[in-house]
Amino acid sequence: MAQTFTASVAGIVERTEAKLRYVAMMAIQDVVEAAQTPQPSVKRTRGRFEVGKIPVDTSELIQSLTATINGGATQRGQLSYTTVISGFALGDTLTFTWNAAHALPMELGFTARNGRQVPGRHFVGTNAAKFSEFVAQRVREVNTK
Amino acid sequence: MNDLDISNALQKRLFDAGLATVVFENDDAAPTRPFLYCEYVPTEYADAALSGGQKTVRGYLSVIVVIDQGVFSSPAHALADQIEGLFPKATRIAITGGTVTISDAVVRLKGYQADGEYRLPLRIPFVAA
Repeated sequence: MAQTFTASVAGIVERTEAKLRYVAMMAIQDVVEAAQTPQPSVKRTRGRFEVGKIPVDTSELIQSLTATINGGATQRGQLSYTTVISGFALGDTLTFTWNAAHALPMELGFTARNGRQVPGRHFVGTNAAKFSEFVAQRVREVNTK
Repeated sequence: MNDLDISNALQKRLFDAGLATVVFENDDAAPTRPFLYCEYVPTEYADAALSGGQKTVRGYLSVIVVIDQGVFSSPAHALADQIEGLFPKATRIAITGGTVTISDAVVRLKGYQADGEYRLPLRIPFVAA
């Protein structure tokens, strides 16, 4: 009887951990995927752009994403995050970095040659701020299964 | 309560402090350094009431402290300290139809050099309801 109870608890723990991992993994992926959602460069849109999407002109910025897990091997490229996230275990630290020289000016804005301020695209900031929203969505998804 | 009210409430607090020239989004001014560049960045809209009327907006005010390149980062950090002092966590600002609350500590990001200037980014997180 005691063994059956222990086995039941172990089963519950195992299922709960699997759900936790799924929620964490998918919510992290939601953030990076949203940040990597491309939009055309302002050169092609006559100055129009959306906040929260990464601008693509030569694709240097979107391809400059590097992803690592616990400071280990680095994956580089537009979809590098998928490889790293698939190996995620609870307690791991994932790091995502955009290494292009113009990544920060694109994210936060810069001063144009005429001295005017060019607004940032906030493709990382806005999506990182939605993390708890993404977690809540994934929790609802898990609870309805 | 609308985005304009929220944005104005946050930016007015910064402007009224008179720490440096404040440049707002879509302002064609080409200011001399040091100056503060502001952007209102909403990240989440929600309404808890089934019938509506309980709108909540979350987001952050992006403030970039811009100083000359090559004068070290301390003038920018000194300005950033003063800005942080204007927006401590839990500060409440009344607006038409609601309140804007500073929801967490001001986040100071890594500064960077670009085209003769040094830019130190700050994020002031808020929730308006």
